[in-house]
Amino acid sequence: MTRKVFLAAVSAGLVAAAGIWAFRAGRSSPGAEPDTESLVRRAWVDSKLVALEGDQEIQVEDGRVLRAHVLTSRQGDLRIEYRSAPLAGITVWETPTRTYRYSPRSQRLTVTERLASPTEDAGRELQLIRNYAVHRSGEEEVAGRTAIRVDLRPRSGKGTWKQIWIDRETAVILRSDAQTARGRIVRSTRFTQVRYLPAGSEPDAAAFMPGPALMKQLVRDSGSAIERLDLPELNRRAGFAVRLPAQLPRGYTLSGAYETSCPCRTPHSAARLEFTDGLNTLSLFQCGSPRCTSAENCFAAGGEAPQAVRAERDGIYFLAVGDLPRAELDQLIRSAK
Amino acid sequence: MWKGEAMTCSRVQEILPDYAVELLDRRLQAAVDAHLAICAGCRRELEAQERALELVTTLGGRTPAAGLFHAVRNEIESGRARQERPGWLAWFNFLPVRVAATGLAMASVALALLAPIGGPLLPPVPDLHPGPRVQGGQVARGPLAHSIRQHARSAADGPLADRVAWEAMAQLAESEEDRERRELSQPRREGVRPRSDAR
Repeated sequence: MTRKVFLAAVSAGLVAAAGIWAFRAGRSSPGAEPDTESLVRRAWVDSKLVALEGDQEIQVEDGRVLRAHVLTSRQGDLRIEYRSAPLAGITVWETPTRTYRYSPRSQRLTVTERLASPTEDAGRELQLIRNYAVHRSGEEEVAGRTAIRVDLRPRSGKGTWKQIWIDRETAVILRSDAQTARGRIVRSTRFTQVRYLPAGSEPDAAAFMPGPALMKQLVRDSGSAIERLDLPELNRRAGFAVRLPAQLPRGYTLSGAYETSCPCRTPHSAARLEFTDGLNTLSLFQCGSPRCTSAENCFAAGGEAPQAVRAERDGIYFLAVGDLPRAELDQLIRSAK
Repeated sequence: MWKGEAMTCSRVQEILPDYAVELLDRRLQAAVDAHLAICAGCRRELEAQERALELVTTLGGRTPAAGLFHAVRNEIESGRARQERPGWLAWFNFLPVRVAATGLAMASVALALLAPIGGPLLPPVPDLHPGPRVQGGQVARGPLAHSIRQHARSAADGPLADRVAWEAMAQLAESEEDRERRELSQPRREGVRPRSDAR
């Protein structure tokens, strides 16, 4: 090889490398495509106003894989029909203001009101962007659709992070994985097939409400209070001074204080504090009521769950539930004063 | 130049070539004569120029070889004329440098093809649905299921929440609660003490 040919080959190699890099970066950079943060915003706003039906496969915390059929409308309605054991037959109907749940095993239909606040959503959006770095990590096919894969990684801390696959055209989230900092998937949902419903062929409002026969079995779901309280009112209803954690995991703020029922046998109130970092939610249950009849049945009891930590401090039973390392949940309880 | 102006050496040497072949006008010629009469340095410079002129006159003109002009033009037009190479190219005469440069080019192509774009190097995405796996038999029962159900319903309302997955979590917890409730409807078990005793 003469020196001239050799130099031309090396130069061509370097130019080709630069060209390939520029092409790939151009295809996936936010500058060349719609801005990634805008895409994520579309995913959580517009995608809930798309009419579709499809089948989903869900992997939950304990590793079980479940299947469900999903139907949505342009008005933000949702219907979920679980189709595999042990949830087969359970149906959820959701409108922007109410959620109905029916279990064939208990033959019970419950209803809860939903909180819907554009101001709150906007605040949560800002919090998410502040706490999570959002970037595109590729493009894949999910359920026969081209989807943009977006990573949402915490800017600091070791909480659960997320990968979502957003339909390039409709912004519907076709797949979503929640992973620990070490890469273990704790929860995953993906469409195995999806069909978008054109205008005129979407189901009517009745599809998103239980039928008249089921409505006769309707009861209010007492376990899912949604009324937000200030702390003095919560203290009054719970019958004890609710403790606030002095140290929150990084990025989390208090998003609500709720009255809930203590799981022990004697009916009385307890407290649930809810915290969020924009993406994940953390609940801190506590009961210090003198009416509580049994420690074995209060928040300190009831088997094991990977995302739950409990403790008793100063006569109050705590239970922290959230997608965080156990040490951080433990610290949350320890700092409650 | 003004009449009668004294000539400086630099000015005289500037116009000496014209003086030597008598191209100056009479006044300037006279001024140079006057300067040369008193300046030995300029006289030596004039003598050197006259010797060079004599040499050119003696040797006469040289006629270029026939076809030289066309040969030069053809060389230029054919593109074969070479430019002088920069010195650094000489490095490429050495085999190790050639090997290193080739390796660099190949590594660049490989990096451009394989490296992730748009962020830090990421761990491989684990297998999504490897099939059922129960983690050490960890199951939320009774009171814990009650709490997890509430948490799951709350988490399900997040903007990017896995709505269907969280609802499934809540339903699984509720199923567990129902089972517990059925068990509790049986005769009361022993060992459940009042809370005041438990603390």
